[in-house]
Amino acid sequence: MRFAFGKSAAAGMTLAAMFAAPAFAKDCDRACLENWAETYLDALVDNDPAAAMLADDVRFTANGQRLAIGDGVWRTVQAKGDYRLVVADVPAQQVAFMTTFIEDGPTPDGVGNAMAVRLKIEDGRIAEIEQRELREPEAYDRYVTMGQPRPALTEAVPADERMSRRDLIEGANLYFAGIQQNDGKGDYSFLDNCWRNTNGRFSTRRPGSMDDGTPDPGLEAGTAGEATCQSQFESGMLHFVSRIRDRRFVAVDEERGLVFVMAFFDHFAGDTRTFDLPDGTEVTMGPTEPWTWSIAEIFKVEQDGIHEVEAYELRRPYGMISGWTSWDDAMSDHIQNATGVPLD
Amino acid sequence: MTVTKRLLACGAGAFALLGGAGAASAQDCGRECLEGWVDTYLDALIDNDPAAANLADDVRFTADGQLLAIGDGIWRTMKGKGTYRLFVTDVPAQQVTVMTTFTEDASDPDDAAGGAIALRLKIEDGQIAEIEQMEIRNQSLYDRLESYGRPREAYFETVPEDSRMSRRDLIETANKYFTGMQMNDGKGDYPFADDCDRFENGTLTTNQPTPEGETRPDPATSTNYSAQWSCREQFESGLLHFVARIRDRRYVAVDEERGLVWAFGFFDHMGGETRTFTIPNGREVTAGPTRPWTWYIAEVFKVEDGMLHEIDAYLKEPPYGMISGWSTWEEGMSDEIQNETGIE
Repeated sequence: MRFAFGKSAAAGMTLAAMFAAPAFAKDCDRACLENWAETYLDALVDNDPAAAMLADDVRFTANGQRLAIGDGVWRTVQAKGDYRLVVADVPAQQVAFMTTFIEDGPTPDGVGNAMAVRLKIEDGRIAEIEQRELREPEAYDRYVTMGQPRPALTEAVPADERMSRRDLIEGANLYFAGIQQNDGKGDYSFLDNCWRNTNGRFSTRRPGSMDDGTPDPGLEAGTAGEATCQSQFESGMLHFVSRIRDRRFVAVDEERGLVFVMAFFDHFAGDTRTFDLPDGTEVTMGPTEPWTWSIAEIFKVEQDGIHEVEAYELRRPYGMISGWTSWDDAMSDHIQNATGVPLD
Repeated sequence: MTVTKRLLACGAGAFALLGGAGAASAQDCGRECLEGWVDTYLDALIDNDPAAANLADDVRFTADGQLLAIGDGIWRTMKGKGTYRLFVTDVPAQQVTVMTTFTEDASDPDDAAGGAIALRLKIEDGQIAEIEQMEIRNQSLYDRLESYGRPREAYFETVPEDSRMSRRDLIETANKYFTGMQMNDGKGDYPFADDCDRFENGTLTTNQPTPEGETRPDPATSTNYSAQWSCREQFESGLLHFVARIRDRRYVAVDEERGLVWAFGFFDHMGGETRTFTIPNGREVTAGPTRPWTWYIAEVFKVEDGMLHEIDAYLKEPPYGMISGWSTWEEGMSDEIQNETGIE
């Protein structure tokens, strides 16, 4: 199914202008932006802010908390890891990426972790740093095993098949719209070979527990990791994700068809845990206490649907916001175009 | 929000007015009345009935440092009140703080999960104007507090009228606890009474008996402080140095009659080089968390004759650098006293 973005979709879109008027200069291209990621990570390793070429008024948040430069992970990163999944947004002069890193730990070798980072470059300096740190050594090990991102996440889309920034963002947003209070009847446009990987672990089409390595037929539907993207959404079982808010689309790569989003998934619990599946069966599912996932998510969007989903999720205090929005924006489920580049 | 905030300038000992309108000093709601508001509020939570809580139109509600809409979060999930109540009731401020137990939904609808809440309510014009709470979802904490039945007697005992301390002196004495722990060097002003005990999340963390067959740790040779030591021994050991910053010290309730002070604050462990320090006998020690680590703390002090007799701390880990939701970022990062009672 081809995405059809009509006027109604566009009308429902809130383009929150959260950042200062953007420089549309493209003075830093893909390679240059990707190099900023290395510059920043090297500065973290050396605990040397001066080496990061920071703007005087640089703003830095880690896990939604504003910190002074030099605080937090600056003191504890030992080394960069090898894994990089980069969304370089040249028009926005922003680069957002997922990476592994080694941090101080109980032994001198340190502990492997992962983080999602957004850097905004202005006038040859880093003006904004936003990162979500995933301290999960098992995730680090999985990324090491994976080695590199899946090819679709780094391949260019043929020029005549590329989508506009607006269509890429709206295509990715259908994912959130489909999960939020999921009823199995929404507009779910996934490619048959759609994968989702969460914290380095496949959470769709995962090889099953059968002896021959094939999926267990009993787990091919619903929310099981063995199910496909499409069947998970059509199951209606994700209804307990009550609200996906503070949807900040921070980087778009038209050439590769990638979109990078920072957001929060709220699970209200209480009465919202009980709901009807598409066949009318009443079920009770989901967390029993108020629960928020802090999410960094990369989508590969193609004209026929979502091809790849790469997610970091970590639990945060219920209701936490990003540190980059007003409270009202943060509680909203509207699209926030945080690239600073107008969509039309 | 009607936060009236004054700062006790701890260095100079002078009270500096930082901002905010003058506080209402009305005492129309006495001790029993204020403590009754806690039950009114908890009952409204259980019934998920905000109207029953008599909330002000502009009531402000935070849970775990996050601003939430009334009806969100624990409103949907709370099932019952426990019986444990540790109050600091501040009649002049018209604020009541309490550490209490609660139950919440569990996977089995016939069961319930236990936890504890550190709660502050501000009463204005016969309504709840501010709600601030820290929620600790921990069954064993619930079980411990319920097994105690009620707090230690010192928390209920009235200080003889002729030896009561002023609000200023109570706060400044309590603050010496934080000042003594922050980058603890063993050489500070530690006003601990000989009978001082501290409980953390309901567990005794001072003066624990030495287990049979073990030798009591010696501060001169230990690399970590011991729960077998007294309050004073712990502070004089210099081994708490890795608590690098105690910030957003918000003194929210004072009970002059009982000599009690309630503070909210955050303990930052910065990791990195701050983990290596020299203790009073000249020995170099490396200790403390290896990554940036914040404890979100609610702490109750019993202060008498200028000395700390009882300390009860309730703590949980939030994202590193989190602030309370009631302070500016600068206040949230400061280690100065914030007098949040509105009373000079």
